Amino acid sequence: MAAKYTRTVGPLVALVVVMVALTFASAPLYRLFCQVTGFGGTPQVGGAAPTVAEVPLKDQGRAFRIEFNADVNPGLPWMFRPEQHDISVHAGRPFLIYYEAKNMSQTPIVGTSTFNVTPLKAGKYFHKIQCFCFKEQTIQPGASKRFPVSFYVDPAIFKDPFMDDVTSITLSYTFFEKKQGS
Amino acid sequence: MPNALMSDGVFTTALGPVYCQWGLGGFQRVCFQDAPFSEVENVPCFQNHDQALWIEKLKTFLNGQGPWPKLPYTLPQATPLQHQVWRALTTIPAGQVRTYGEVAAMIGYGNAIRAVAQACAANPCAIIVPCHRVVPRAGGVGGYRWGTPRKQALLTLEGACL
Repeated sequence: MAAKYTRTVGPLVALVVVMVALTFASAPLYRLFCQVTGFGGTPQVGGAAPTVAEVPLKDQGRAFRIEFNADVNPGLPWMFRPEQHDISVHAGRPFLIYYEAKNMSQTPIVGTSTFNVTPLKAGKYFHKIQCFCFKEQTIQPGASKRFPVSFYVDPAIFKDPFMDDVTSITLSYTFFEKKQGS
Repeated sequence: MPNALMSDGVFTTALGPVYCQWGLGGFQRVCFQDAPFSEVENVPCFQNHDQALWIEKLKTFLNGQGPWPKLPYTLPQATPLQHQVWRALTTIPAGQVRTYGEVAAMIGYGNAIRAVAQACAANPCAIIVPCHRVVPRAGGVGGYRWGTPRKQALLTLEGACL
């Protein structure tokens, strides 16, 4: 009879002990999970991550919708479009997106691009690590080119009360034909 | 007012890569970039000759080959106090430093030392709005968003005696 009780109670006691231990482990385990996956807005440290500021509690998990737009100055015979309409990003983590351009004319053309960020006030928190817009681009007649943009949203955005209402940011590029001698 | 038509680029300097955003009215953002940056042959997209000159002067200074350049900038939407602090910073001559308390006194709020330090930290145009010229009264160069050694280096480039 006593042995029967031991067989039942023993595992049950062990189960309780394990569950209590897991309770204490949950906080560090969750933190580990967030650090590995970036879930909940935890900035990923190391690797390609830029300098990371602490994300205030109120902004934990706050994501920004980044929309991409492409324009071509009239007179430049290029087709130019973003490969993705929008993505959702957490501040402090770098992202890589692509634009694509095609030269529809019969001659090689050198283009330069300008950009704007809307809302305008968010522009200074939009950092690019690498961008086709950093330099002139030449496309051969009829050829297409993929243009990468590697960027991150500066976590300093959380410290700026004027940014509290910002949930989506539009990045828009306009290509111009590079004028001779300019 | 921020510029609508912007260009940007990352430039290699002796103090590390510098990321800049600029428009027709001047710089909107200047900061050191600690994220990985692979050097490419940059022929930046300047909208006019002035902009090319601004970048050239900035690079010349950071490479220790020229004086601190006074360059145009546009400031973002910010609190009145932040604007006052940033304007005050641009009146500190190159090669000189002020304490946080002295800057607070310059804008007429002698006690607002912490607020001045916060405004300096929020400066969107490093180097051009010279927040690196503000130091603690206790000595040393004090903190800097991109590391104390960079602040020290900038002051050394300007010939500041500390």
